Amino acid sequence: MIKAKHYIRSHDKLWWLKDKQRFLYMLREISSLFLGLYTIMLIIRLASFTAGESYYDSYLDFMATPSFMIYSIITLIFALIHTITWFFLAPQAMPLVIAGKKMPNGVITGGCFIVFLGLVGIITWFIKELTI
Amino acid sequence: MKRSGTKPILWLLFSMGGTVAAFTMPIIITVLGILHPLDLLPTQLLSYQMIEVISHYWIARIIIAGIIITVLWHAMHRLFLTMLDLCLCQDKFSHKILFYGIAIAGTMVTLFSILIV
Repeated sequence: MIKAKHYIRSHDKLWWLKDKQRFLYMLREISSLFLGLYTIMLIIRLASFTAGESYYDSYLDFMATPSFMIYSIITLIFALIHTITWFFLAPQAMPLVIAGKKMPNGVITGGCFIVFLGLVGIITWFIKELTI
Repeated sequence: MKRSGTKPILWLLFSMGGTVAAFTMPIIITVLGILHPLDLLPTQLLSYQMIEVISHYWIARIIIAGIIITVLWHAMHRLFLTMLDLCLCQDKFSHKILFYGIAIAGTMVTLFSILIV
């Protein structure tokens, strides 16, 4: 009797450490871990607000601990990696055609960055207005 | 390969979440996670009373829930695919439920909190 040979894919668990391209790919993809954890923190913030003022205040105290600050800074770095890589992928994911002409990639990526900086500007202005 | 009926919905949530995260998450993390705990913002800005005032506007509730839910689904979907890439998970129900279960639970808690405040 002939036994069917199954193809066993050799898959090295550390394939992403083999070269720079793969490492950068993994750096980009693993940003989802940090974004996911942070969204869960936001949900806890929301739930603690719903629970009442004392719960919300203890959440804020927890946020101000040094370990959580370090975690926030690491998450910010990964969030920026996500933002930058997402904007550079945007022309491929959402090609923009205006009047039958395909927009060059740089226009879409540049547009994304301008909108993002605009948002940063609005938030900064809003905080400044409240401070004075 | 069997086509799953949930694929288009997941893909829409994934791409929306990615875009929302790209535009908002760095700002949210900087304001809520770094500037506010360091007391670099006006004290009343994120106080309980201030958020109570904001919560009277339904548009604010919809924006907050929209950001949280889309980013959560994006992150969980992408994290599951990354876990497949890293050979830490397999494409089977018991592994999927870990990630999509968190997304479903998070969505429910968010909607519940937003609706009863």
